[in-house]
Amino acid sequence: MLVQIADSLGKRFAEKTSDFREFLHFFGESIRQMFLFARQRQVATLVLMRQILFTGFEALTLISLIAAAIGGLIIIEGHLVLGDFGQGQLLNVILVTVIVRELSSLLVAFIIIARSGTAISTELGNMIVNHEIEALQSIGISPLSYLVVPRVFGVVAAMLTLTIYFNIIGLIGGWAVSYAFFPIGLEDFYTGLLSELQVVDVFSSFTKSIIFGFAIGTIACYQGMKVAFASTEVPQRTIKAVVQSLTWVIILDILLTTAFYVI
Amino acid sequence: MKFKFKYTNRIVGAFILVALGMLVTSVVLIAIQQKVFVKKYTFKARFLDAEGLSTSTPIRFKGYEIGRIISFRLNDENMIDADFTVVEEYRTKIVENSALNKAKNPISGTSTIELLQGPDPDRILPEGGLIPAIDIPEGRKLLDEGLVTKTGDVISSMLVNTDRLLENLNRDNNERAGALFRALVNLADASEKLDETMGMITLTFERLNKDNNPQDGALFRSVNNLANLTEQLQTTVTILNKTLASSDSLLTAYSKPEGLAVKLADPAGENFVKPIRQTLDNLNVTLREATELLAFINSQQPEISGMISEGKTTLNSAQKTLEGINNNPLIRGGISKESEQDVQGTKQRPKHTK
Repeated sequence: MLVQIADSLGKRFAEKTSDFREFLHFFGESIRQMFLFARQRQVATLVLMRQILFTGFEALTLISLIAAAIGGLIIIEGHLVLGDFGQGQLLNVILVTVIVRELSSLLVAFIIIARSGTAISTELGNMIVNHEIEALQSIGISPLSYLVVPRVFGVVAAMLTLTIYFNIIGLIGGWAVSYAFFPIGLEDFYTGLLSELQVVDVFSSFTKSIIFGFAIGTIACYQGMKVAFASTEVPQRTIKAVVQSLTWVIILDILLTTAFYVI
Repeated sequence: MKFKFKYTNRIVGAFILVALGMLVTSVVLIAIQQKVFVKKYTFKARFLDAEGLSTSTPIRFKGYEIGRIISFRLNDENMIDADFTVVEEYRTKIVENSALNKAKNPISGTSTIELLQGPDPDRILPEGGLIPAIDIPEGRKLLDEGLVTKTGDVISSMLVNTDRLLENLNRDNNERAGALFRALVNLADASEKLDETMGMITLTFERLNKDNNPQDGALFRSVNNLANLTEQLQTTVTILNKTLASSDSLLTAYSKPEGLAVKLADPAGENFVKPIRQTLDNLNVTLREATELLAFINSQQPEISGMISEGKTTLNSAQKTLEGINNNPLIRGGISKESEQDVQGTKQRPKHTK
């Protein structure tokens, strides 16, 4: 019995390490291809643009809505709670900490995982099932440089751009939403907010968004490219892409937040 | 969708450019608000501790931000040396004999630092000059000498004043050092004793109220007995009152006999009423005379006493004479020796010895 358990655990560990080694190989090769992107941009630029269009521009409405709602909610709740203690000036600190430092990159990452992570994984998986990858390879085009690298760059660019929008809409839209309940002057609001906002906060937000975008794009592409031949594998790989992306985004968020506080 | 694919590059370009424009605008606004490009002057500050201090803690003057802490460290004297910058616009606010007041927000844990400007606004402190906080001796001296005035909130002022009061009370060269705490200790002792006394009183009352112990409830039994006694006394007084009223009626009736039986038996009053009346009148006269006699006797009491005393002496002499005659050696055995009289006078006659 114990031998069987040990065998099972060992097999599982070997599979996992094998998967991880495979991922590291894929990741290393993708990085290498990224440096070659400038030379191959004639063929990959269109893929990159379409990826930014799909991942960034088409998600802008949803992101704007969520950002304005969350900004407004934080201001309203903050006024209600902090006002009771006579600490209304802390609202700016909370806005900067919650929206700029933390929520903007994290929420944008979740939305991109839900929209684009699944789409990339499914699309690449279906391309394998339909032998499109083999066709590309047959004419000498590297699937990594043509399919993976522009998608990863597209996700990173979209992630970064959406984070900027999220921050600005979260702060301006938040003020606009909360104005209906607490008429605060725009100048007063932004004078206080800009006094609290540091360059390091903006830098922290953008660093997170770039790393999250890179992780989401790479994991989604890897899981999509892992489909062997059956169409039934595609949804399985898509689910794996979502779960792994969420897990890694949260782990990276903890690490990066800790690193920024230590710095 | 075809439109989007056709103008993908433009849409994406606009999408990114707008974001970048907004980002650049935001950064510029932050830079302007935080006066990043304005020339700054650096000064030194010294605090008792680094509680709530951070590298971006603002320095405020009259509630308006004029600079920020840029660095701080622990020095050899176990105090905190800090560097802070002041923008050029407010450079002239930093004058000699100024002090800093660090107040910690208990909710956020952050500190606000208020510049307490020195008395002479023309004596501008040179760059790199030291400004002490009022929680270290140098700063406190400025405060005590009235060179700076603390203009914090009411609670902070109260806390500082209380702190100084306690410090003065506990100073070693103060004759009444520790008086406040002694008073508190005495008050605590007194309250403990009062508490004990109240406990004993409560216990006593509890014991008085118990009926299962023969010694308990004595107070209430006494009170009960007193109540019964007064009740009986009231009854007696009522009866006495009635008796006196009856006596009064009787005397009135006898003084003016108008009863039916008396009228029938003695209509003229000659046989029955008149003799009684005369008897009473005589009795009244006799009583009056007796009263006068007693009053006379009472007034003559000293003379009567003297007469009695003389009579007594005379009788005593006579007795001795008679006894001497009886005891004559010629007749009998002579006069017997007289014993001394009792001091208290209980023995009226001398005691004879044989």
